[in-house]
Amino acid sequence: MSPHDAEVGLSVFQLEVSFCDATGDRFNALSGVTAQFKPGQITAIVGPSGSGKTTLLHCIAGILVPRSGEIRHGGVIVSSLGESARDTWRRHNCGMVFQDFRLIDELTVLENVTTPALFGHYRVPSILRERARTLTRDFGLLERSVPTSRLSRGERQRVAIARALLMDPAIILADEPTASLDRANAASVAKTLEGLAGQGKAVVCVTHDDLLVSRAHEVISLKAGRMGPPAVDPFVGLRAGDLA
Amino acid sequence: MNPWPIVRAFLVRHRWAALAFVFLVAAGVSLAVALISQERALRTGSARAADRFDLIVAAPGSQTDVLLTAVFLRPGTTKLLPPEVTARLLNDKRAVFVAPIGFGDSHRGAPIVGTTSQLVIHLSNELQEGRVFARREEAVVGAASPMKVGETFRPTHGIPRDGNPEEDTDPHEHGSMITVVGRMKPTGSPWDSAIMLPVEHVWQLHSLPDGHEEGSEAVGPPFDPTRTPGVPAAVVRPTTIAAAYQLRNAYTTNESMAFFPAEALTRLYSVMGDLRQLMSLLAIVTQALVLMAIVMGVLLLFRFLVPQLITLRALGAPRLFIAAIAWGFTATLVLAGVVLGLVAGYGLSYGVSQWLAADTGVELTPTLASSEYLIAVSILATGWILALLPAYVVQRRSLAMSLAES
Repeated sequence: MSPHDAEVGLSVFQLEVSFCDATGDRFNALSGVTAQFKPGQITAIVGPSGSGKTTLLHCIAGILVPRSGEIRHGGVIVSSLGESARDTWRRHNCGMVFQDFRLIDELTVLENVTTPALFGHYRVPSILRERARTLTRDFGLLERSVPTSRLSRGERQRVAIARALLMDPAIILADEPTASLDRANAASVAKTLEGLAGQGKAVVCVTHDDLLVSRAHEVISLKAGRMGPPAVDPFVGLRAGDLA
Repeated sequence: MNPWPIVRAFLVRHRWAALAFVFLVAAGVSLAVALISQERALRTGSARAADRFDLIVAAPGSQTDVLLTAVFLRPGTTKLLPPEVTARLLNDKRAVFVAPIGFGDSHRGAPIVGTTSQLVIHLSNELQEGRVFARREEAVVGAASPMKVGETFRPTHGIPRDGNPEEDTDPHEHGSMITVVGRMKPTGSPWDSAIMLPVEHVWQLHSLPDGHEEGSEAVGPPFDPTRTPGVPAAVVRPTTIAAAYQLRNAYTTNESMAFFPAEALTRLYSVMGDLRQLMSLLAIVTQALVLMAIVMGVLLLFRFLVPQLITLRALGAPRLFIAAIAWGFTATLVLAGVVLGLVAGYGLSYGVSQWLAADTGVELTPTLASSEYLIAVSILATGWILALLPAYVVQRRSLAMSLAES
């Protein structure tokens, strides 16, 4: 039995990812990365630019398939799924939040939030529509029928988080979610992510933001694709003994 | 899945480019549709106008020229039938009637046609108002003539070319005062705006023998063979089909030609049909190039939409969803262009018909028929198939690479 089978949550094991650079030479983006992302916790992935943070996030989301190693979630080996199955798995299990929100500006708040429902349905099911209304209300987005282009940056990031939560995913993957926000909005987003962790979701953030790192239960530090020593708390991920 | 809200959002974002694409498609479709519709309107309109002219006898020459002169009342330079042939024809027993046609005068731009009351009744299928002329100073006007029954006028010598009396070589009023005594029913032909007089009056005005004894005021047949002048053409109503062919043979000689207007029109249609086919082919080729250009344009547009498409993929949208967005975007543009093109094509055809009808007097009724719909559906189908290209290109982008790039 692999050590990460013991956990119901999300884990990555000995991930190896390599890319070709502009000259055609292959380089390792991730080497031997092993980690657990427990439900109810915020895990911050930190490191300098080019250290493999976003690559790790994409591997967790099933966007990238590692050259070797495994990504598991609740007994499903995500890394061995086909592309279509990974899309479906991601749609139901991962909520993605981006630095630049990536909303469709011409759609209203409610339409943006319900976008993921259109991938599998012709009409947004009433249960999801109701959930979208609840999320927008909870996030203080009362003007649901206006195009998102009219919202402030903080509001737009809240729309993006609401969209990520529509399918009630167990995992929230956020790539620099506070990087393009002012301090007040960044604090608000950090609090929101903390609240999501409090609801039992595994929140994984790639960040450079000290505020967000300070709220993380666990910090994974990457350098040149390798995990470094723990930066904040005592290491709560996999211990060497667990890998034996 | 339902990509339409996303397609709609992207259409709004690129509305000006989308409008330009739609107008490009619409322009091509409308030209093709108008061309075919107009050709049919011309064919049916001219056939309807010539329908009641069974057989025409004229001096040897171009049947098309005689057809244009006698049926479509276009000023021409047709030679005259020799008087002896005219006299023989006017008294031929194989015809229900033979109506000589004489030109040369006009009134306020409307051509004056000298003929017999039999032809007037035959073309009009009974009159709309009044009665046929019974005296030489009486006239019947076409259905579209602005003249009223009871109105009087004096004919002007010469036929205006393109409706402009200024272009006459010697415009001057002559002859006695004419009274309008009847109005024809609409025929859908240039005869609707013409003025019909007894042919004897026209002959008299031009100092020709008037077909009757000297001093006689008679109008219509029988004509005196010794006092019958030559005429530009005569419309013959044969007694039977066999008689029609006999008459055609009898008057196809060195001195005269006889032909069924339908034959001459068929030859014209054949030329028009060839032209239509060539133009249709050109329109289709042009349309295919336009569609290709649009597909390339859509591919360029979608380069700007990559961040949104990649985001959708990252949110869990399958490749098919992304392909459906790209296809739906292009297909919507083509559909809008084709529908707009059909409407604009009909409008264009209608406009051209109105203009031609005003110019020629031939009533043209443009319609949209199966051939136009077939062209539109073909362009739509081609566009929808070509729309698969951007759909294919867009969906095959690597999600991870695109995310990294964006």
